Amino acid sequence: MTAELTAVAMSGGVDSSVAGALLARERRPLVGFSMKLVDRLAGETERYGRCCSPDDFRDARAVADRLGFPHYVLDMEDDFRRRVLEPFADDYARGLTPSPCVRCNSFLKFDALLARARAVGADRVATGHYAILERDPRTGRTLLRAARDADKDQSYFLFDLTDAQRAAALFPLGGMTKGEVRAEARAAGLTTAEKAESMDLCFVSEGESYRDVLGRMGLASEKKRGPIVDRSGRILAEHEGIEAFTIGQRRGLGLASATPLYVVAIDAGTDRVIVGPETDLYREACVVERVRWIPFERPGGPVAATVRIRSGHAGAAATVRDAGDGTARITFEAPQRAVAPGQAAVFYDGDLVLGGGWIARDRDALHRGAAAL
Amino acid sequence: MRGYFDHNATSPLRPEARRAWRAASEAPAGNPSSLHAEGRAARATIEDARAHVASLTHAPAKDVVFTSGGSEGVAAAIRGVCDRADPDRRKIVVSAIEHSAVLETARNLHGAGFETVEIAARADGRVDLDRFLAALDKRVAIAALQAANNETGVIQPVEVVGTHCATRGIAFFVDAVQAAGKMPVDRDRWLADLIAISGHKLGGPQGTGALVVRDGIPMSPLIAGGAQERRRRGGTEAVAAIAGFGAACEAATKELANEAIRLEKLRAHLERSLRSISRDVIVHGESAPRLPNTVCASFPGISGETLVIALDLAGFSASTGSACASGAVEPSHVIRAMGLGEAAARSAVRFSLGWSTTGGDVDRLLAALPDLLARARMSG
Repeated sequence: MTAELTAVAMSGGVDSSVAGALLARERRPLVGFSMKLVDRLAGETERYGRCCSPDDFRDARAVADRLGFPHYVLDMEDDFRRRVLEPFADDYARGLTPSPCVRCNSFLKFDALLARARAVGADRVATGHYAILERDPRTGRTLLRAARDADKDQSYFLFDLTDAQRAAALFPLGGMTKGEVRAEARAAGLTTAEKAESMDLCFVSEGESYRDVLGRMGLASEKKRGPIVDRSGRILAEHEGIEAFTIGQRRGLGLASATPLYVVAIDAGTDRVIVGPETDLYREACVVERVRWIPFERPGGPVAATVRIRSGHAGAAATVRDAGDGTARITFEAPQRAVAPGQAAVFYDGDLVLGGGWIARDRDALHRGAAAL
Repeated sequence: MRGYFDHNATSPLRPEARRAWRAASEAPAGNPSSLHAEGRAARATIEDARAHVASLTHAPAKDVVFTSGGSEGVAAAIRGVCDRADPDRRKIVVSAIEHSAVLETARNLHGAGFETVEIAARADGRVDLDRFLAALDKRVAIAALQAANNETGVIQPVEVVGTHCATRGIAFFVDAVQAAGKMPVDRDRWLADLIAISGHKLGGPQGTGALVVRDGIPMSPLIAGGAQERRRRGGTEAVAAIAGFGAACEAATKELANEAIRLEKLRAHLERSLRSISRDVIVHGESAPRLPNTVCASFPGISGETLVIALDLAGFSASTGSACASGAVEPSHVIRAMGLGEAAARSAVRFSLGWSTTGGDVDRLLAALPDLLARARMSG
C-alpha cells in the first residue's frame, strides 16, 4: 500500500472514465469510487436518475477493470439527501433558484467522498471535471482556471471548494477538448467512449421533473397558494406554490397580457410571485453572500471581474466590492437579465476564477412589490 | 499474497472437489437419465455424490435433491410446501435474521394469500424463541429457521422449533447453508422436514447445492417437466459440479470435528487480539453458541464499508452486510433485527475463516489492522 493512492470518482460516464485512464497511464496507484446517491431498489416502481443506475455502475466497474484498479460503489444516499437534496428543496420553498451541482462538489465529491477516500488511504480525489488547477508558487494556494474547452468548462460549479479541497482535487481533463476526451476513450477501448452526455440535474430521470423526485423522496414542501401580482400590486392570478417559479420564467404563468410578463421576484414571506415586463428583469447590481475568494483570502479593494450569474451565462463585466462581512456587492457595467437569488455568481479574470458567492434576495424588488400593496 | 477471510460468502474449492470435478468432466459425456453405458456412468457419479451429501446431513440418500445452490433450495422448500399447503394454513413464520433468500421468498408469497410473520432476534443474536413458538399456530403452513446465521455465526435453537412444529403439523424448513461443514447437520435431532445446503460454502463448486426432503412432505417442484430427482427437480443434473460437491461434502464430513477445534482456536486468537488492538470493539453474538469460524465485529465510529475497502486494498478479504443491486453495501438487516441500531448495523464487519485459513493468515491480518483502523478512525 502506498501513500500516493489516488481515488477516482467514477460516474460511469466517458469523462470520469478518461480521467481514470489518464491517471492509470501515469502509473499512479488508483482506486475507483462510484457514489450511489439516489433511489433504493423498490421492486416494480424502481426508478433511477440519469446517474446511479446499476448500468452506470457496471460501466464504471468495467472501465476500472480494464484499467487495472479496484472499484467500489459507495452508499452515499444519506449524505446526498442531507447535504444536497434537502437544501435544494429548501431553496425552492424559500423562493430561491438552487444550484445543487455546486453543493454536490463542495459537500459530496470533495468532502464526504474525499473523507472516505482518506479513510482507505487515498489523499486525493480525481474527477472528470473540465477545469484546471494550478499551484501558485508565490502564495502556495491552489488556483482554479476555466477549462481549455470553453463549451465544456465546469469551473463555475467548482468555485466554492476551499483551498484544502482544491489542493486535494485532480482534474486530468482540464486541458482537453471533449473531442480529445472521446478519442482518448476510444483509443483506450473504454466501453463508455460513445456514451451520451449527461445534462441538467443528474438525479432527475427522463420524463420526470425535479418536483417528482422531491415528492418521491418525501421532500416536497407543502404547497401554499398565493397571488401572482404585477409591480403595482394588482392580483392577476393565483398560483399553487412558489416553488414552481424561477426568476425570468415566462411560461406557465397562465396570464393573458398584451406584453409578455415574466417572473421578476418571488416573495417567500408572503407567497407572492411578482411579474412584470422584460425590462423589469434587468438589474444593475446584486449582493452575494457567503463569498469565497480563491487566489487570496480577501481582496485589497474593488475587483474588476467578469461575473457569471448562472452556469449558462457568458459573463458580464462588473466590479465586485467585498464588504468584509461575508457579502459582496456586484455592480454590472450593463444591467443583467434574470439575476436569480440562490444561484451562484462566479468572478473571473480571464480564465482565472477569482471567487464567487451566492446571490442574495433582491430586497429592492421585493420592497417595490410590497410597497404597492 | 492475499488473506482470505470470507468463507461465509464463498469458500475456496477444496482440492478433493477439484479432482472429482475434473475427473467427471473428463469422463465420456452421458446424460444421467440415459440407459446407455455413458448415461449409467454419469448416474453412478451423481449417486456417489448423493451418498456423501446424505452422510453430511444424516439423511437417507433418497431424500437428497440436487439444486443449483442455497437460494434454489430455499425457494423450492418454501414455495413447494406453500403450493400444496392446506387452505387453512396461510401463514409463514420466519426469523427476521434469515438470509434474504428466505425473507424475500416468503414475502413474495403475499400475492398467493400468505402472510409472513418475521420474528426478531435478541441482542445476543438468537431468535426470540418464545415469540417464535407462540407464532406457531394452526394457520402456519411452514416455519423457517436457519441453523446458524451467516453474518454472526450464532447457532439457532432449531431442535426446539422442530419439536413444536412436529407436534402441530407444521412443515419445518432449516436453512443450513452456513452450518453445513462447520457444525453437525442432524436432520433427526432437529426434526427438520426440509434442509437446504450449498456447495460453495463448504469448498464445493459454485452452482451446486441440495435440498433434503423428508419422505411424505407434500410439495410441488420448483422446476417441473422431468423425472429427475424423483420428480422433485426437473432438468439434467450438473454431473461434474455435483461430483465436486459430493467430494467436498465427503471431505467436510471427515474433517468436521478436527476443523471445528482448529478454527475455534484461530478465532479465539483473532478475537482476543482484536480486543487488544481496539478496546471498544463489539463482537456480535459472542455470548451465544456460535459457528467456530465466524467473527462479526463492530469498531465504533468506523463504517464497515470503509474498513472492508481498506482491508481489500491492503490484501485482505472480509465482508459487511450484503450487497444491493448496485453493488453498494447496505447496512446489515441481521444486526438491525438484533435491535442493535443503525450505527452498529453500519459498522459491522465479518471475518469468516475456513479450511484454507492458516495461523499465518490471521497473524498477517492482525499486523495490518491497527494502521487501517487508525486511518479509518481519523478520517471517519
